[in-house]
Amino acid sequence: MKINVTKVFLHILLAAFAIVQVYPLIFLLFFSLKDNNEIYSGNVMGVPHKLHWENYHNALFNANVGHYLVNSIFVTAVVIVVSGILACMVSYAIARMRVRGNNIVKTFFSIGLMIPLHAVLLPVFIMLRNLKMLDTYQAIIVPYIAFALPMAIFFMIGFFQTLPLELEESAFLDGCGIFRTFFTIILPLVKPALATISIFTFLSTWNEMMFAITFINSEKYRTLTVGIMQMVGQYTTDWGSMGAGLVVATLPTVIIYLLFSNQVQSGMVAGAVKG
Amino acid sequence: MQRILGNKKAYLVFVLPAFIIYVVMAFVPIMISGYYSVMEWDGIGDKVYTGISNYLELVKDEAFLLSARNSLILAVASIVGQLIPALFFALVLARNVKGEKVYRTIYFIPVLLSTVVIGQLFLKIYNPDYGALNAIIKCFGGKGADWLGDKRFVLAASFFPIIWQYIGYHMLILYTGIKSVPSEIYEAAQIDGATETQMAVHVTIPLIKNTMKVSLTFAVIGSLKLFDLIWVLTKGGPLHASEVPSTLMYTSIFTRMEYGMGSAMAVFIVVECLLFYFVIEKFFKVEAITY
Amino acid sequence: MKKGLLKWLGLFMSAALVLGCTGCGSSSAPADSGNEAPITESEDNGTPVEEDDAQASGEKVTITLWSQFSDPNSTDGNYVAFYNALESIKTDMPDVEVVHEGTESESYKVKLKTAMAGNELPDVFFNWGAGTMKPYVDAGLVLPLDEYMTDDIKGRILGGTLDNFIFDGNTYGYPYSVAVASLYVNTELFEQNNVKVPETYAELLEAVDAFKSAGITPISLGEKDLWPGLMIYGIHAIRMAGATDFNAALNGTASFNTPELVEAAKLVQELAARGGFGESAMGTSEDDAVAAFKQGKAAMMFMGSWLNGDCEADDAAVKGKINVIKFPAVDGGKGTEDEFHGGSGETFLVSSGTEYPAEAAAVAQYICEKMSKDQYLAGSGMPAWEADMGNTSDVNRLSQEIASLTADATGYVYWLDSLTGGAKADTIMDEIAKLIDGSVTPEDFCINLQTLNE
Repeated sequence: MKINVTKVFLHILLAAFAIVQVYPLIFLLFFSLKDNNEIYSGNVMGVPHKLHWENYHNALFNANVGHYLVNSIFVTAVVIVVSGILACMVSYAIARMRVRGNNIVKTFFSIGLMIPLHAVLLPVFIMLRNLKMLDTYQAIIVPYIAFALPMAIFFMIGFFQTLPLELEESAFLDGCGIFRTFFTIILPLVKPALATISIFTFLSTWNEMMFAITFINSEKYRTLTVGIMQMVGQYTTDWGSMGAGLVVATLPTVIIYLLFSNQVQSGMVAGAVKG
Repeated sequence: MQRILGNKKAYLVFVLPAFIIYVVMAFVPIMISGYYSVMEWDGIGDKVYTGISNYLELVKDEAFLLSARNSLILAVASIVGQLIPALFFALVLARNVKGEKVYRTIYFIPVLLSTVVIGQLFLKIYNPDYGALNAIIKCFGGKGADWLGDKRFVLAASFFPIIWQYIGYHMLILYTGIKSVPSEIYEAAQIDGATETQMAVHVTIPLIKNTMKVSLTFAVIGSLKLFDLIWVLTKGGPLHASEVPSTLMYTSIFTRMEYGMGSAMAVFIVVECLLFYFVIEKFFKVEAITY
Repeated sequence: MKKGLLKWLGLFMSAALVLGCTGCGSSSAPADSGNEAPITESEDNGTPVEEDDAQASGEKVTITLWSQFSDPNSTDGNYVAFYNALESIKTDMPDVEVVHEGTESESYKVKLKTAMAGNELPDVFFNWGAGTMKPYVDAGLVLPLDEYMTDDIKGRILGGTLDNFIFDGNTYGYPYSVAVASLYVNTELFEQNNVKVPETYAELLEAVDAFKSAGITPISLGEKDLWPGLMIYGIHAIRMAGATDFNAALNGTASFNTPELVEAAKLVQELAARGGFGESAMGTSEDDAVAAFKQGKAAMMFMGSWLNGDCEADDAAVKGKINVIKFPAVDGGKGTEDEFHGGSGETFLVSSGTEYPAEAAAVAQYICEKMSKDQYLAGSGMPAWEADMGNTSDVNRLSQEIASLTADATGYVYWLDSLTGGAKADTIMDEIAKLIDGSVTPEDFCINLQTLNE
């Protein structure tokens, strides 16, 4: 009986927190269907009185949203794949390989977590200029990778450390080289962690604006988040249309999250491989 | 074994590609910031070498000290307000609760939304004229307040959404950690008759220490260099009451055109983070756990 | 072992550092305006076009243009005018191709300053005049336009509108609008509450008290964004010290610490303490302040002429009920009602590193002259160039009203933040926020401002 009470209480708690957590999304959807009058008055939190579907028209057809979306997908995909692989390689080396100075390398990469991005905007700009990379896809892809790496490495190291050494031992005994062992045996085992870090990399890349605004001049490389934010005016902003734009920009993040977070769970099976 | 895992060439192959990108686009830039920090420079004219005078000015500057204090408060508040609920929900969800997948998805939603959305939401909640919070307070006969415009409330009011937004983030980190623990370990404990709570405390938590360290490090560093949401909500105001080092740095560089000073603040932030990083590393010095 | 590895990595790092520092200080490199140039795969026909050939055969010159006019669909008068100009320049200047990049205004400042520090300016770019522009002029980053400013062009520019673009006798920009702040009053609220529209400062205070007791915000102020408070203080200082003396204090040739300016600070503080800005001005953003006024929740607002469009917008509850008046004179003040806050100060500058100075200057001039007329017709500020306005009956009622209010203007003080620029502007904004909040005395306020001049 007592257990049941705890259980019921637990489920009420879980459900209540779920309502709190889902509300912002509902707020955004409502927001995107209102006009400024409603947003700046009593009814900003609730259901819109009149549905302003034209906000979506403004957001979708006036700006070059389709093109920006393709750019964002391309940039984000490259960043996730490259930073994911590179981070796994570094974390594996740090976690497993017996080379002195390993800890220094780890701390060295971790400094990247601590860098305030606004401060390095100009230095990164100068690096890109000297490499003749400004106003290209690389102008944002490479810095995004650089700043995704520290977080991914720091996160992944712990997961490599937990893998049993016998895995490599048997692979090496079978004559497997270190690279083949890494790619075919080790990497699949950290899939849940890799999925998690991909979600984080995805979010920071997808939502990044300052680098994208400063390093890109041509509209053909512009990303979606930047495109949407251009609706902010000098003195007035049509917030409803902006909300519609934000809905469009948020949808892919929800989809990506659903895809990757299932990997986190299914990874459990892989984790049991040791047997 | 030893020979293969100690292979220097292989090590280089693993590390070098990431190293090159990281050094060129992140590490050297912050070194350049360090170089700017000993200069007086408006970003366009000539740089004048002034030694450590920017730093001396910084430690005497009350506004900056206040901002540093604010960020420390936030760091502590984040540890309590983010990590504890995150750990709780991660533990519960990882134990195959009914609706695990739905909850896991929903709890992460605030992280998925950009700062602009969360910022707008809380600007509307806190609005003194038509905000939800004041409406509720007035329902109960209270008077309400100008939450983000009043020096007494602004820290609590602006830190709340900052902490809340990332609960789901830490939950996912910890959840991933728990999910990587092979289920045999749980099965063994279950056979021994351990209750859920006992299992969490004696089995799961010790096994995910590493992941908890990651979460803790992210929470502390994230708090110390926080910028986005506080900028959207208060811009450091009113009268600098909610300023954090990053907002002051931003103003220095881009509004006041004091590039040297702003860079000194950046170096301060990095050094402060590094300090806490080492403390956490030391505190959590755990030998590698293999399952 | 460790040594060998770290030596390698260290070696690479120093190489990268060298890369980061090359060109740090060199200001000689002309802006790489060739960024957009690599059109080796020509879009129209797929045959690679050699860049050199293209130019030799007198093909189009590409001029890059940056502005904060980021949203082509905005209904803001300045945005409308800018995009009109961008469209018509295609036919009016066929041998120039203008490539525009618009960035939302907060990010624009960041982008522009970074590009400036990194020596990668576009050919033409939007900027504010006076103190904001001065460091760029001092660093030699912008091109003087005197060479291209023929007497004919000069003759079309209205008097006084160039003042904020002139440094050491050289002119660096063309004007495109004269934006003036005036007191916007909601006549409906005044009538409903039996309050007289103020003609003197005493009447203004009476109106404040009356609205306050009626539960209506007397003057809508978004002090969270700081710059709106500058305008409130600015107009009080103009009324007390007069435009000439206040300008002198702002540019450092006279003191802030005068009895008149102390009195102006006192008035602002008293107005705030009286509840003139409602109870929550410190936490109210400009967006919120405008919305409150637009919805008829506030009786007055002291704001620049860009508010005209909002007041007359179809979705405004106050449409047709708003009037603009001169901010009343203050008894004992040296300034009169005919001195105004605002002026001409936004412009397009030409980078000194441009490859095509003549074309870039022509583009800047074309856009400014075209915008001058169109932004007036679109209901924003007043024109800065002489032009045949044609039929103006459709022009925003308030814009026409402001034009007649300022017909006899005797003096102007430009927006304090653009006028002073950089750290000075930031400090002034801070001090004014403290003044409004009541955490600095008017005397100390003036002393603090005066330290900026020393």
